[in-house]
Amino acid sequence: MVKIKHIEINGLRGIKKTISVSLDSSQSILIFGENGSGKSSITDAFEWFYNDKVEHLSSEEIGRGGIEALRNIFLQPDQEAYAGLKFSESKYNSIKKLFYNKSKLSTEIDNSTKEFEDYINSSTSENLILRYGDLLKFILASKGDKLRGISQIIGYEEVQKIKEIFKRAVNDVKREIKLKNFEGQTSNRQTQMLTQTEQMIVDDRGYFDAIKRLVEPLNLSAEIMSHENIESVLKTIEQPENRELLALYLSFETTLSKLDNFIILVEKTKKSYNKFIEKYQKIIEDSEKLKKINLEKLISEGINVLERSLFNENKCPLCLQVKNRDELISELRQRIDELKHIKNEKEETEKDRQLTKRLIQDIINELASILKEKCINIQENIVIKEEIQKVLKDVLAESEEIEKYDYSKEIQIKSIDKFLLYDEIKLAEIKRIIDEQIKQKTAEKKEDVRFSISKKIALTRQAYFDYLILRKESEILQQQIESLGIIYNHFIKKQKEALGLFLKTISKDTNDFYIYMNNNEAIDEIQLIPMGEEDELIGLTIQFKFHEKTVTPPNKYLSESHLNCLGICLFLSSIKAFNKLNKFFILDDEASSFDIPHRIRFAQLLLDKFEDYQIFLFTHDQDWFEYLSNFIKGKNWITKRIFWDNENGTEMEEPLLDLKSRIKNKFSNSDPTDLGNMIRRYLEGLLKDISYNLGVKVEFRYNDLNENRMSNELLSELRHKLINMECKLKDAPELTKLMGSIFLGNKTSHDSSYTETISDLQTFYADILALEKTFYCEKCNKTISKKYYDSVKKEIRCSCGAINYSWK
Amino acid sequence: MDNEIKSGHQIVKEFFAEIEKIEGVNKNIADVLARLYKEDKLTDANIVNELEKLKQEKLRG
Repeated sequence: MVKIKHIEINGLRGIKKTISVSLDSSQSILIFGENGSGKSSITDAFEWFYNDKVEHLSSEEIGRGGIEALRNIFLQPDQEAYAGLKFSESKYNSIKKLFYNKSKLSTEIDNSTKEFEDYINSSTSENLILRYGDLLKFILASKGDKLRGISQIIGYEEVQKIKEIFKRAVNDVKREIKLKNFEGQTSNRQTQMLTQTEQMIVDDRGYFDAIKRLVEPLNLSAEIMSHENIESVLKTIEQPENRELLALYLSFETTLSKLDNFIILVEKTKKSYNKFIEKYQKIIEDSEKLKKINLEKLISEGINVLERSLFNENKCPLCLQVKNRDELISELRQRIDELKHIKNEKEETEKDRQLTKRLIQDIINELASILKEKCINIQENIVIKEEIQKVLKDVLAESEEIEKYDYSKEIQIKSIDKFLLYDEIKLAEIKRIIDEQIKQKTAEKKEDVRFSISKKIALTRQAYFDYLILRKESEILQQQIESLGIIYNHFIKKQKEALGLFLKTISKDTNDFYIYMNNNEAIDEIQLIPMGEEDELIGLTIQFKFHEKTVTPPNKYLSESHLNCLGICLFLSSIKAFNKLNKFFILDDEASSFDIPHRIRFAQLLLDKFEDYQIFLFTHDQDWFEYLSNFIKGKNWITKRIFWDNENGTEMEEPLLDLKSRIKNKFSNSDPTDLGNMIRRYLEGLLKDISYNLGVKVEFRYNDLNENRMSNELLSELRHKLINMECKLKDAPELTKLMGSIFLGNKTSHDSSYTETISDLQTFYADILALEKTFYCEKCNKTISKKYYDSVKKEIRCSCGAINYSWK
Repeated sequence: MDNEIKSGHQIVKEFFAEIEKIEGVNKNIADVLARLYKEDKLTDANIVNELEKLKQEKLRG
């Protein structure tokens, strides 16, 4: 798992000049900085590095992703701002830059590998940063937003999407079965078989039996125990001259059957159409609803245009008003959400329209099929054919007309009594004619026993095969529904198990952490509880035991600091649950609302439960910082202080040793850049250390002024102390030289007209090192200190005594 | 049920990897769904179309 080895930030937010921190990749870091010193600039840099935006800076005024606010305002236009991270896995090392490219802010990352891209993409679903302002977001969110928040983290939307697809597929197949009306059609075939054989046929045995009885009068010796037997018998008894007639009979029967089916289909279609126009009418009669529906189309298209980056500028694509693109998308989505119930109503109406269209198509297919029938295409039935063609034309017109119902226009709705009109009398007449033709042909062949029997066999066979196909089709569809149903239920089960496990784990951890921080308080059994029906999850709520009573929601019962505590516990438990890639996280000023006992337990929690994590902990609270500094001593942590000044922006206080090495490097390379300031900082650090050890008192100042003492002030007070203690160092030439040095300078000074040369700085630095040698022992690596005061000899000395001076 | 928390994507991926092992499910249907998922074509319309093809094949058979 990934940890950070090195951070380098330049030109972002308050960080004007480069600050950098090197971490042994298992080290955690505690950073202290007053408000406004730039701690959150570091957090912002991280957030931008991983998410390409800074959430709290994203606003209508600032612009997309908050990027416009990210760049330090004192940077020159041609200067690059950047955040560079080195990781425990060096393949992810990279620097992300922010710069102007033809007056447009652009970003660039120097690591273009697929591995890095995958790493960043995966990291976006991990919780890495918690700011104070975000503590209560999840707790105070609505139950739907809580579910959405968790869904986003664990990718639950994909599960929802698949579930919906399965559900729709099952419903589609069920609808197909209903539309086919298998029961009606199989019943119809059985009636036909009954008419021909006077027997109810449901299986092969019954069929063979019925055919056997039909051929009995012919005294054939043939066995009838298979379909092949029946084919063979038909061939035997069929007379070639009767083949045409037989085909015609089959066509007559089929046509009658299809005409009956046509009538059933028309009834079904009318019912469906009625449902559609009722819903449609309800929508268009409500003008407000109508406006919203029309608006929904525009808004959806707007989101589509923006998300596909067809319009990339920070403007509304319609009115061209300046508008942050991400914000605009978010607002549009919110409005779509608000229109959701209207959208659902419209979708239900559209489903009815689609069903009606489908049924109309079935009617068209049936009529087209009738027109192909042999019996319809004989000379004597030309008029019947023309009638059916007319009906088909009218049905085709209905199919086009139903498309015209548009929510944006006023259209005359065709009432149900005018929909799919056909001349029922004419249809009855057609059926009668065909019936008559059947009877006439039957009468002509009354004496022909063989023909009569072969006709019955042929009609029975046709009906039986149709029956078998219908039965088989129905069975197949039933099996499909069954299989889909099993798959759907199994999927729901998996989804519930997974979500249940996740909620159980995160609830347990949250509860454990909370109790760790709040033992002896009447809160227990914190749980994230899903809300909704069997397979329809609508939200999450946080439930817990409060004085033995199960209650929800937390904000009803808990104080702000307890809610903040709960927020931290949720965040920490989500780290344990989700962060599989990164083993670090940032806590930016989290403990502000806690009292001392809770802060202590918070510190203990972090070290106890997250000791293998790399933690970036920021605070502005001096007492908390000092407590933590002691608490983490001997553990794998480093501490840093940051401060801000007008000239240099955010700076990180360096340990003197590191600063000394850097100064040495600068001299080796004859590089005067920033060298004067580095030397002055070194002197300040040295004087603070000496003053601390000798108990030098300086006048109290408020806030950062108290921290940022000028060297001349410290030197002056040090001198006073030495004089008061009658220490010979009061006259030390090193002290006098420095006090008079023109390079001491004022940290905030910008108007020095004198440019320091390397040579000047070398002299200045040499004086500082000389002063250091006076107070600092290189043998024991300790500054002379009151701690080592010898009250007998009245001497102040270093730890080993190699350096000592009289001290009153 | 193992105790590792899984992302939604993992849940879905694992589900389709084992779909044909679900008891009582027609193997052809399971295969079709797994294939559609793999090809990123899993929609209700595609499922219905594929089921129709399976139905026609079986009717012909």
